[in-house]
Amino acid sequence: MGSTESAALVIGGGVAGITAALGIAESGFAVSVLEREEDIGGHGARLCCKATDVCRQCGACIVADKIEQVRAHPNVSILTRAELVNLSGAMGDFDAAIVRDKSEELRIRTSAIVVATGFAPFDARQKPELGYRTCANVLTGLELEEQIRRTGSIVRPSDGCRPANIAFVQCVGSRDPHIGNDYCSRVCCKYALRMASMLQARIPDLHVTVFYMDVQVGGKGFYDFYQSCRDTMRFVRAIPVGVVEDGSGSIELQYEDTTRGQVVKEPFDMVVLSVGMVPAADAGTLAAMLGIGTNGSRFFASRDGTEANLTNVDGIVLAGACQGPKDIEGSIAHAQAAALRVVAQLGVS
Amino acid sequence: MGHARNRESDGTIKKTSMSRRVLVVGGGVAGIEMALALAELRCDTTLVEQGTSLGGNAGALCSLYGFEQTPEELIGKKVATMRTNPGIRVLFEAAVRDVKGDVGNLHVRIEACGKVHESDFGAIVVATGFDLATGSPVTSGEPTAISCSELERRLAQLRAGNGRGRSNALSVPRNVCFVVEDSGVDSAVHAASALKNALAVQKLPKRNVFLCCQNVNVAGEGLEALYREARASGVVIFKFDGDKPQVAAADRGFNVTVRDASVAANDRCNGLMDLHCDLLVLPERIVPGPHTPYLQKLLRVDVDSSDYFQQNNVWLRPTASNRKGIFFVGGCRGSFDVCDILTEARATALEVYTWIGRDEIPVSVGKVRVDPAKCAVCLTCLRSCPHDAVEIVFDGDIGGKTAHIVESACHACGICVAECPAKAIQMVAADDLQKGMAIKGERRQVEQWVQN
Repeated sequence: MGSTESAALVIGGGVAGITAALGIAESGFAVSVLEREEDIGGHGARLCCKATDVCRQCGACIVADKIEQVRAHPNVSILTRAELVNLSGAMGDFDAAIVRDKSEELRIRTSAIVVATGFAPFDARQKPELGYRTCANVLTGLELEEQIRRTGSIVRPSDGCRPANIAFVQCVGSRDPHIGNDYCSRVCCKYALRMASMLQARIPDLHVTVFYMDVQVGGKGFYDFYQSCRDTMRFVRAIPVGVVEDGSGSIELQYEDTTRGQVVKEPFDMVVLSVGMVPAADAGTLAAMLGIGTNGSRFFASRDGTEANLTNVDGIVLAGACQGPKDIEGSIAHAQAAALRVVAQLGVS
Repeated sequence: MGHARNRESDGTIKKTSMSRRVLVVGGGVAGIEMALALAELRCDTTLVEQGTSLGGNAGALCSLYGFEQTPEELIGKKVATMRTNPGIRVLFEAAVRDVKGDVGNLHVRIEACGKVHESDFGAIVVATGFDLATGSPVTSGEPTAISCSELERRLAQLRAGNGRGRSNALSVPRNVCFVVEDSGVDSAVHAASALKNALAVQKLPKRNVFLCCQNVNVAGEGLEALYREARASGVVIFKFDGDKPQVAAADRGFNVTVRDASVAANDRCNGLMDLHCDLLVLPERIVPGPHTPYLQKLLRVDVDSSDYFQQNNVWLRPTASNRKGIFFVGGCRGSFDVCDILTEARATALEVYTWIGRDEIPVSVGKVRVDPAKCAVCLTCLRSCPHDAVEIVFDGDIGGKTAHIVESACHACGICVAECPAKAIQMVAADDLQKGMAIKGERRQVEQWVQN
């Protein structure tokens, strides 16, 4: 069993983990990054650029940039296909047992741990009425991002045709006490409107309808962008309750037209579900292994409102969406703040 | 951005000295957290505050959503920690009067209580917060609507007086209506604070609370729970879209007419609801701090379309400015959520620490040259440079004045090259293509600069 030492250990190689690692490494400390998948980057690396004639600040390009930087940094060692299986010790002297490639066992002695295990996209199959996986032309926002990133083209899955009429359904898996997700995912309004505006820039005369409860207008620059979206898109304050696909691939959405008090049906070429963020599948297991708490939404719990990075265990800090939904910009800030805690703990010269 | 990287990597890196001192401008929650985080990293920090106490706008609030502590407790604790830290020097009644010098060594003149302090700083963090627009936001004449902060003051008084007595009932009467319209970058914070205060009023005995808004802000920790609690405890929420609510003074109060599409179905009213209330609460608009234009000029930094510091996109380095070593945190850059501001300040502290920890600053050496013989000293370059990298010096060879590029501040963007009427400035290493890219990329900045 190989044993190494590293001043800090970052669990998770998404944008938060990478940012935290870079922050610690830039301050002169050795840091190891554990990534379960084949490669680092996480969900952020699956997103497409949503610029129109101007940058929409979605942050997709930043992830690629940071991946390059962290790979090149002499103080960072990256272990892919690696998972933490046990942790012992305390702040200043943790002993992490790691399994690589499902068989190779490693040990890393480390002073501080950054948990940056991210989130999982909500599984839209839990909302069967929305037709995900039963209707070919109902996609999640993340799937559309990946399609555009991979192929560069915007087509609907059933026949490869360009859609002329797209519906975005907001709050899928968010703000929904029926499925136990009683929180706002904070990213869906932004990614849906940026995506919709990018599609409108690329497909002339594209009709966009956004089904929503409330638009979350916070964040620098976003309010003005949202206002410009209201000029080119239709906003309907209702969440669809049913989906029917006809033989041609057209999707009929049923929703309550509150201005008329009736359930109406309306056809769309394609439906994009703005799925929210849920805790990673094994967050509970990891929390138990590390001895850290989870909050009411099952994300990892902060010590209190003023200390968003600290956990109830000294020497273990949180970074990014594992603590609660965040966009790329928010994850970067949160992760850099986590790195500050680690650097302060490791001691500065 | 790729271009920016090239510019740095293909220039010769020159070593310049770096001051390890940091200046934080503003003693609100952002500035305080910034100073504390820098102290954790053992940075020598000076904080200047224009007033006589710390805490800023957040300190004036009565409660914060998502926090168990009151702002007073939160800030009090932080200030106490700050006082005991020898690494933090606080200057009250202080103002930044002048900033000169190069990147990494910004020479700052500060006036505090009539005394002048001069020091070199490696980094400046601007945390000057925001301002509340004064003036009655909606109705003229009697009765007047009150602001959310006035309501907070009244609620605090009620709490202090146990909520009994006739004057208390008058200060927060039985029927209270909040009207919140989306207004800009401050919309989210208004929606959240209205929700918080609506719930606080509803919790008083025998109160009816209406909240009319365009969008409920739930994009923050604990806000969705707050929203549900408000609804469950009886706050009636109306959401309007295009039509703004009509407000009219009425017998001992106001009539508010609001159109909520979701009640339109229960017809006969076409969605139009008439509400009568004894007290109308409106958020006061948040505007950039009064010193923003002054500091913008002094520091030669950009503002966004709403006049808050920082362009809308600084490549997602959320708190960086267009000048190396100058950062923005908190309300002054349009960030109003206390939780976010604390995170932002800590994140920026690490960035500042890494910045001033450098032994060398990447400086493009000899990439832009002025031919003193051609220079007419027309000052076009001085005015058009967004990086404050042009100075006028005496040149012994020509026996007169000429423009000179301050290499440590120069980004080699090519703007002065394009602007110089006498073609006296040349980019040495760049080919035409690169120049073209540079000029295209920075044109917007120039336009903004010229306007200012």
